[in-house]
Amino acid sequence: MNHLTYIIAAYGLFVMIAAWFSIGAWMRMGRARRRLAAIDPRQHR
Amino acid sequence: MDASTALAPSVEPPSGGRRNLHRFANPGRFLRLSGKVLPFLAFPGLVITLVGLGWGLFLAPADWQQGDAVRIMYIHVPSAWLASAGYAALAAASLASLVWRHPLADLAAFEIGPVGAGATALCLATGSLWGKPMWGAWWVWDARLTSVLVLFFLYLGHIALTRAFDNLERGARAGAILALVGAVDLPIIKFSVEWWNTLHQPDSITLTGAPTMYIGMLFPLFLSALGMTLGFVAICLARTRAGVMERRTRALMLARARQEAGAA
Repeated sequence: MNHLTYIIAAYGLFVMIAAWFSIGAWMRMGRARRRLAAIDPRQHR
Repeated sequence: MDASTALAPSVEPPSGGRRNLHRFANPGRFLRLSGKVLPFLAFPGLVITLVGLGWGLFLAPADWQQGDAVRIMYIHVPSAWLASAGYAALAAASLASLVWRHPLADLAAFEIGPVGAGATALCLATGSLWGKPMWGAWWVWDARLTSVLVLFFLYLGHIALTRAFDNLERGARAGAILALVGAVDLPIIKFSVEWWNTLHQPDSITLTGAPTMYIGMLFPLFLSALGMTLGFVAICLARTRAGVMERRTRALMLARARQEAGAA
């Protein structure tokens, strides 16, 4: 496979950006759910 | 509208078409609905993206001129599509925010901005990584590249503007105006390769004509684009859900603090 460095860099960048946003959104959602449940126990989402 | 009243259900029920739109302004309803939809976006998005990228990386043929560097296309093209589509969604949310004062539209625009900026940054970076071996340069001031760079700055401007005010509504209003004015960049991006003589190649896939791409490359590209689009929507939805819950928490804390201050 030629130009391998460029290909690896492109795919690596994608993985990093996608993981950053996905994991960030997932963790933020969990944190928000816990905080809301703590302040308002009626919230069971 | 301040933080305490943000995302509260409408007191007066709107009529006609507005009723359908405002049904989703109810945070409880939005959280229930988005909670059901989210797994059907996130998991298929992940699987389809992996299949598309794996196909593109290992099974799709190399280009007869560009060699294996063409495999960068399976990331570059979907991220370019998402950069533009994300901004169109941002502009649509901004329009709903300005015209109908839809509180979830404010929040959606607030949350789409960073994800769209990420897609645009990925598009620019992978384009640069593709350009270096093919053109011999990391960057050229070509109409397509420059208009996408402007889009990236528009995203950054929107992110900065919506977060620059203590009053959330004022920030949302200023950001919405910028988003709508900036939408003029979208047709410029689309038609830049036709209007100007650019180093960037013209579109291989159009709505009106047959694709000028080999079918063995088209399928993995389509899968990558579909998977990444589902993932993009899932991330925006998850961030909006988190935003609704955070604002709800803030509103409840403010109400509780006011109650305690009134009692004291």
